[in-house]
Amino acid sequence: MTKEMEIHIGPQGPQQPGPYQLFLTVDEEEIVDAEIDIGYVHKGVEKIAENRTYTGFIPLSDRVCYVDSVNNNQFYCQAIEELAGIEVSERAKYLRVLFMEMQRLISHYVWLGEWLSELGWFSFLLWGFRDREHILKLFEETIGGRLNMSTHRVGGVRKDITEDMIQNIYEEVETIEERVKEYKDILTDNSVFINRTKDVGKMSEREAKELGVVGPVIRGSGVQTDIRKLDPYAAYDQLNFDVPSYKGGDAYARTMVRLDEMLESIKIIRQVLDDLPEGDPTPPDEIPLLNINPPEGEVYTRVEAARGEFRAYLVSDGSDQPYRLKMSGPTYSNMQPLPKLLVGEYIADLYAIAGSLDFCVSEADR
Amino acid sequence: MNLVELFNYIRSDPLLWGIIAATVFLVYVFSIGGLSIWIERKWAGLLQSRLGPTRVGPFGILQFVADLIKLVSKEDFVPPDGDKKVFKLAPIVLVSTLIAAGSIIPFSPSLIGSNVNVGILFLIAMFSISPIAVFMAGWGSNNKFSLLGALRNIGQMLSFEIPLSLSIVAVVVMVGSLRIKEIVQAQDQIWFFALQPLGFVVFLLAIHAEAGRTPFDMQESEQELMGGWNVEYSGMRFGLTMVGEYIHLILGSMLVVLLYFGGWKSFGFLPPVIWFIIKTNIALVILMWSRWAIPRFRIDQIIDIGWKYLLPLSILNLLITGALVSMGWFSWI
Repeated sequence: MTKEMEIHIGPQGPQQPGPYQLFLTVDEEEIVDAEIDIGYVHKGVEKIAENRTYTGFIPLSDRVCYVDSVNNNQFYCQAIEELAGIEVSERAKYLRVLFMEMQRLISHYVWLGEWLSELGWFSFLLWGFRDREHILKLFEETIGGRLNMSTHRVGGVRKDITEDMIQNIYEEVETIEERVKEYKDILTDNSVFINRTKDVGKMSEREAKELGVVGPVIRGSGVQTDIRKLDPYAAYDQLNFDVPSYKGGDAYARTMVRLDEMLESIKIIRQVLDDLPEGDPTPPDEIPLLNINPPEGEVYTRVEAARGEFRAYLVSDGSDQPYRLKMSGPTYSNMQPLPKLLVGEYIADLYAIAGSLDFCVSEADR
Repeated sequence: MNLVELFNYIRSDPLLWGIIAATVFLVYVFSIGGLSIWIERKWAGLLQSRLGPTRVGPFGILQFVADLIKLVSKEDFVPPDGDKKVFKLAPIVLVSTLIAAGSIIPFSPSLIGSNVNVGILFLIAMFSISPIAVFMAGWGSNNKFSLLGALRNIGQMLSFEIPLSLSIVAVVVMVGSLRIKEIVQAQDQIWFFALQPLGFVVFLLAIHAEAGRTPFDMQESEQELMGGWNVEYSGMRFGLTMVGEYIHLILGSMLVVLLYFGGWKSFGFLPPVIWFIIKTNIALVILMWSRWAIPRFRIDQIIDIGWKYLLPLSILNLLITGALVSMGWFSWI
C-alpha cells in the first residue's frame, strides 16, 4: 500500500480547452478519486441578455462558445421567432443548415486536432487546423466573419450567397471529405491509438442515460438520439441524413461517432447546395432590425449543436428586452460523467477521457 | 616544451585525453547536432504541412543558436522549497555523464577519444546514470508532477535497460570484444543488422525508449504531467535537460550505426568521418520520425512492451547467437 497523493490539474493546464479544475487523488499512476470544479469563465451572459434588446444579443450568443457560434445563433433566433411567430423563408432555412453544418465541421476539426495532440500526437493538431482553415475561408467569403460569424438574423440570415460561392463550397467540401476519410483510415489502423482509446472511459448505455450526457457522447454509448431528427428545426426535416452511433461507449467509439458525423455533415452540405430554393433569405422589411417586441410569453427550444443538445428557455414580458434567457449547453451535461469515468484509470488516460468528451468550457460556464 | 611534446604529454595522461575527447564530442553535439535539430524541424514541418524555421540564418539553419541564446538569457529560477543542491546538480550530472559516454565513440579508425577495453560496458554504465539524474531533478523540484515524471522514468528505464544490454551482448558475443572499434572492424564484410535482425529490432526500440522521446516520453508528457520531471527548470538549466535528452538521442543513433551499420565503413568518395556523420543523421531522423507519426504509449503499455516482448526476444536472440557462435558459424568475423 503506497501513500496516496493529491494533485490538482488546472485550471490552466497546458492542454485544457478552457479553465476547469480537477482534484485528483492518485495512488502512483492510478486515480482513486476525482472531483471536478467549473465556473472559472463564468461571464454572466444570461444576465447580460436581460439588459440588451433581443437583436442586440445575437452577436453575444456567438461568444457563448466561439467554436460553435452558428449553432448558438440558431437556438437564440429560433426562440425569438417562435415567441414572436415570425416565419422564415425556405432559402433562409436551407442557408442556416448550410452554415450550421459548416460550423459542425469546424468544431469537430478543432476537437480532432486538440484531442489527438492531448494523446501526444502533435501532427494531428496541425492537420486539423489546416483543414479547418478551408472552412474558415469559406465563411470569410460568404458571411464575412471567421470565428464569431453572427450568420443569423431574426427571420432569416444576414447575407445571401452567390453562384460562385456555391461552386467554391462544392470544391472545398470535396477536399475536406477526402481528408476526413484519410483520418478515419489512419485512426482505425493505428494500433497505438486503438490501445490508448479502446475500453478507456467506458460508459454503458444505461450509465450514459442516467448521467444525462448528450450529443456524440451518448451516441458513442449506443443511443441513437439527435435533435435534428427528434425535433426537426430549420430545414432538417427535408434533408436526408443518418445519425451515426456506436455501441462501444469508450473513447474510441466517441471518436468514430464524430468522424462519421463529419461525413454526414458533408452529405448534408451537398444536399443543401443541390436543392437550394430560390428567394430572398434576408429578413423581410416588416421585421424591425433593432427593436423586436415579442408578445408576453415563454418558449423552450433546443438544437443539436456540435457537442450535443443545446437547450434554451426564453421569457418575454412584452418589452424589447428578454425578461429571462436560460441556456444549458451540451458541455455542461458532458462534464458530469468525467469524475466518475476517471476513477480507476491511469493519470495518462486523463486527457484521453476528457478529450473524448469534447469540452467547450466557456459554454458550460456561460 | 614544443607542441608535439605537449600533445604527447596529454596523450599519455588518460584523464586529460579523456577530457579533450569529451570536449570534441561536445563540439560535435553543438555543431553537427545543431544541424540535426534543423533537419528534424524541417522534416517535422514537411510532415505537418508547415514551413519549419525560416528566419534565423539561411533557411533557418541557425535557429538552435537563437534558442540557446534565449535560454541563457532567462532567469535561473530555483524552487525555494525544493532540495536546492540536488536540484542544481541534476542537469549537470545528466549532461556530464552522457558527454563522458561520448568520449569513447570512434568517429573513424584514427579519430577516437579513448579506445578503452570495456568500451561498450562503459557506455551502458553511463546510460544507467541518467535515470538517477532525472530522479534527482524530480525529487529536488518539490513538485508532484516532477516526482511522478521521475518515477515513470525509472520504471521505463528499468524495463528497457535489460533488453538493450542483452541485445548489445549478442553483438559482443559474436565479435568477442567489448571495444567499439573492434566491433566496427568486424563488420568489414557484412553489416551486423543482417546477421542480427532480431537483436537490431530490440535494440532500436530499446534505445528509442531510453532516449525518452515521443512516443516513449512518459517522463515528460506535456499533457497530463505539464512537462514532467523538468517542469520546474528554467533558463539554461532547462536548456541542459534538453541538451541531455538530445545527446542521449545522438548517442543512441551513433550506437545504432556503430553496432549494426558498419560505423565509418564507407562506399568511397568521402572520408570515413563524413560517412559516419551521414549515417548517424539518417538514423537520427528515423528515430525522430515516430515522434510525429504515432501517439504516446501509456506507461503500463510501455512497461508491457519492455518486459513481455523485448526481454524474451533479446534472451532468445542471445541464445541463438550463442548457439551459432559455439558451433563456429561466425568464426570468419
